[in-house]
Amino acid sequence: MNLISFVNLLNMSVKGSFVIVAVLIIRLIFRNRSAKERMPLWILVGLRLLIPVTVIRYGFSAVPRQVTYLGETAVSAAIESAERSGTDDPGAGAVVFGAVLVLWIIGVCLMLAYLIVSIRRMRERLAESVMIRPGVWACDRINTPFIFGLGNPKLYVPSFLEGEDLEYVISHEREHIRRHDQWWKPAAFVVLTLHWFNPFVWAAYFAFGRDVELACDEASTCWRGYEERKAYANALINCSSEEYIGVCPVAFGGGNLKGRIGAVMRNATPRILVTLLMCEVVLFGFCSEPMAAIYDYGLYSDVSMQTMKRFWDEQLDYTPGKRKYPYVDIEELAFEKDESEVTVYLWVLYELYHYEDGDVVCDLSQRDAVRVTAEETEYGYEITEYYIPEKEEYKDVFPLSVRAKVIHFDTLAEVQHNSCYYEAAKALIPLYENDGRMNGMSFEIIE
Amino acid sequence: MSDYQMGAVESRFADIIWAKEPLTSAELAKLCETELSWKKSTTYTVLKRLCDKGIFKNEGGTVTSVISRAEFYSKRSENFVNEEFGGSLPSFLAAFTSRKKLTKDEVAELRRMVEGFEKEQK
Repeated sequence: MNLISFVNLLNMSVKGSFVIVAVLIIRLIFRNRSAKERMPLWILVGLRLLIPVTVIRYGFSAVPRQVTYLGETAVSAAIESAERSGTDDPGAGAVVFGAVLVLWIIGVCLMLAYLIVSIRRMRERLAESVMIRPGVWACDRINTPFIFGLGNPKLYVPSFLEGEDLEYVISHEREHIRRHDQWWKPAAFVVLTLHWFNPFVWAAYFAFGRDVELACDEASTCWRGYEERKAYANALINCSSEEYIGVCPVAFGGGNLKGRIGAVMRNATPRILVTLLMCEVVLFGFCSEPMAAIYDYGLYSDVSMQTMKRFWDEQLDYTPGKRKYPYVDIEELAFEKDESEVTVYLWVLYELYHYEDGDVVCDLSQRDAVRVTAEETEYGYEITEYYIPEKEEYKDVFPLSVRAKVIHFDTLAEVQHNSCYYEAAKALIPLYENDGRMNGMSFEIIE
Repeated sequence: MSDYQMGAVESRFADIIWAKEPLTSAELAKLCETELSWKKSTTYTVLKRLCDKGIFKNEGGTVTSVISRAEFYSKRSENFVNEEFGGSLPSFLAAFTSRKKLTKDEVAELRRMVEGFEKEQK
């Protein structure tokens, strides 16, 4: 795991925290509604915490851009200051990063160790069980029912459960199997393991656990009538009551007894429209990032023109010969907006092509990191500064959070090159093969 | 004799011994495999535990009972408690379990709460 990947993990964690807070608030507001309805929200949370790229760029995002960078910059500032102060000692930045990485790895290992040990001990306990009906096993050594096993999960119940209580428990646990919770819960645990340092993710994990139980309660009672649901609610109470003959406290599923009873008795109906609405709000409001200025065509074309002019003026030593055509590919890394001033960080590839024998040939390929400052006017953007940092300055001019976005340097280089080549070929080959005639117009090919 | 408590599963195991004793531990293991689908290791673990409790004994590979079935059940207390071996369930398996015992008052309050929900007119 290198620096860039780790920064990406931290970014995901920070952004995920926003989504989690949004989901928790939605849960609070809609706490009297069906739990099944809001389960898809947890998928969004999981995806946000696992996928490093933001797929949705939206005009409006409830996540303020500055705050998105807050998490990144807080971390990167620490690493950067170490790096900078380490001009005398080039290893300082690496040492800080190394220490943080080791800490993270230790956390992950502890979580995994807990998982493995728990599973092993559980297996030992569960060996001493007897089958009381197909797929259902009674065990002396457990106090609460649960399902165990991935592929073919078995239902284990404490051996003291009987009668109506047993029936409801089995019904509830069967819903877990039907919903494949034996996969979902460990999956959530794995996500938690990666983000063990983030308290929001812990909160989300427990909230998710509660929702899973509520959803199973719902699944096993929604089709039952009022009297039966009362009996189910009473079974929940029985299993937690001190008076239950011969048993230690058991809650088949978990705490939150009042919440579960309330949900069972209210028997709210899930509505797909509400689910879609909630998902849309979370997805576009919180899983998104504000759209970049570079997608404003005006700014984009201005930057392209400036780039070509710049390279033309400064870099090119025009020698007569085959006519060369410039092509530019611009990769926008980040942008910041401060009132009417916009700062955009770009990765620009500039290439020169000429036509030869039915193909285009690249003569010059140059890549630069560029920082563009522009002023927003009523007519669009006006570039006030077009700055290409020197190699040594690059780390100063481009903050770590921006550099972290160039995830795969080589792949990006290739992609940009291919893009330029494609554009060149698309334009030049037909032009030359038609002797300069294109789109009904004649171009004079100057050699 | 330590305590006269056995869970339902242990009882089934004990019944096998009481029915078939004396028998070798190997025979017992085989029986448990057929009737309970238990591995040998499981059989021996439970056997050891019950021997430690003083209910059975395993001498030279032969299993016999120390107290008879009738005697055991007559002395067993009404309320048996499920032993908790080594901590509560990991939260990724079941939802976190509430260890909280409800008091009589809390139970009454909750039952009232249940009654309080009126039947919807559908």
